[in-house]
Amino acid sequence: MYPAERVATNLRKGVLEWCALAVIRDGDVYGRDLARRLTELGLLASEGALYPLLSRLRESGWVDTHWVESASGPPRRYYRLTPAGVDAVARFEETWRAFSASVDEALHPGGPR
Amino acid sequence: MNEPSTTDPRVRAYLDAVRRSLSGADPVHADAIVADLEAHVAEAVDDEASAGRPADVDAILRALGEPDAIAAAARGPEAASTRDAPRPRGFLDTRGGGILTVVVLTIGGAIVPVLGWVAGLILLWNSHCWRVRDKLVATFATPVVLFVSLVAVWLFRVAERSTADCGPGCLDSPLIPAPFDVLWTVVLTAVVVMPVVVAIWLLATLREPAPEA
Repeated sequence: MYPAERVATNLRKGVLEWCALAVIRDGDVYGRDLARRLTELGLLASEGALYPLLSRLRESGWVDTHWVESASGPPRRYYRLTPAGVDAVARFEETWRAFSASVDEALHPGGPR
Repeated sequence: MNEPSTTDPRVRAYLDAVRRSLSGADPVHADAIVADLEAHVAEAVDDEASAGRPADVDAILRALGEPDAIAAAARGPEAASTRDAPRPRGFLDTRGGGILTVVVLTIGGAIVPVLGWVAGLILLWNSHCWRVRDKLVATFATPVVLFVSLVAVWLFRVAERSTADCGPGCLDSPLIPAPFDVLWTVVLTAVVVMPVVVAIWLLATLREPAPEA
């Protein structure tokens, strides 16, 4: 039987951090907002699993955080890409396109990309 | 206005469970993750309040996922894909399978003495609905209570014999139960009451394995 869930889980694990960086590149986001967007994209199975990743991204220097006052609640921590993070996402895009093309070629040799 | 969401006992219990799951992680890293999760809950409550809806703390915690899944994510994608390779999920890993396990463990021994209980244990240890700690409690609670009680009865009998040796005119006290009665009480407690206690424990700690991140 085709292990659909396992395949999806492994693929998600491989791209989650890059997709998180890509979403942050589109504009500053706070943790829950980012978790929700990745969940809606089907890239995150549970929102809590994002936070270990964000912690690693902070340590890597690819994201920076700043606090923004909220009108009704506690201040929120917003995430923003550093120049190194912007560069990393751009490099990933190149890697992904090449990888995706290779998979397409393997699935449909000589077919349209 | 925002409720004091992160002081909610359910939130505290969840964060404590995450901290326990992260016990093998770097403490600074673990502190950062727990603080982020706490902030996430506060943001969620704030978002709901801004939308004019009451916050559903249980739903917020459910969306965060199982503490073990967060700990697996903390070990990183490489570790998560090898050490936590997805396992096949069978009926035993569902809530229904968990309840069946509890039923067999509780009344299996009454239907087929000993073997029924052993069958319940086999189901229990093949299920992913409980942590190892919970399984250990469920496995050893009854035998340990039985053993300790029998030792207590034995000590009681030894003490009684020494009382009987107190000499002529030394009578049995009507207030002290006969050893046979005590023995039966102990056995009944271990065989009838303990499985019920264990069943309550297992139902309270039952959890469906979360999908992987």
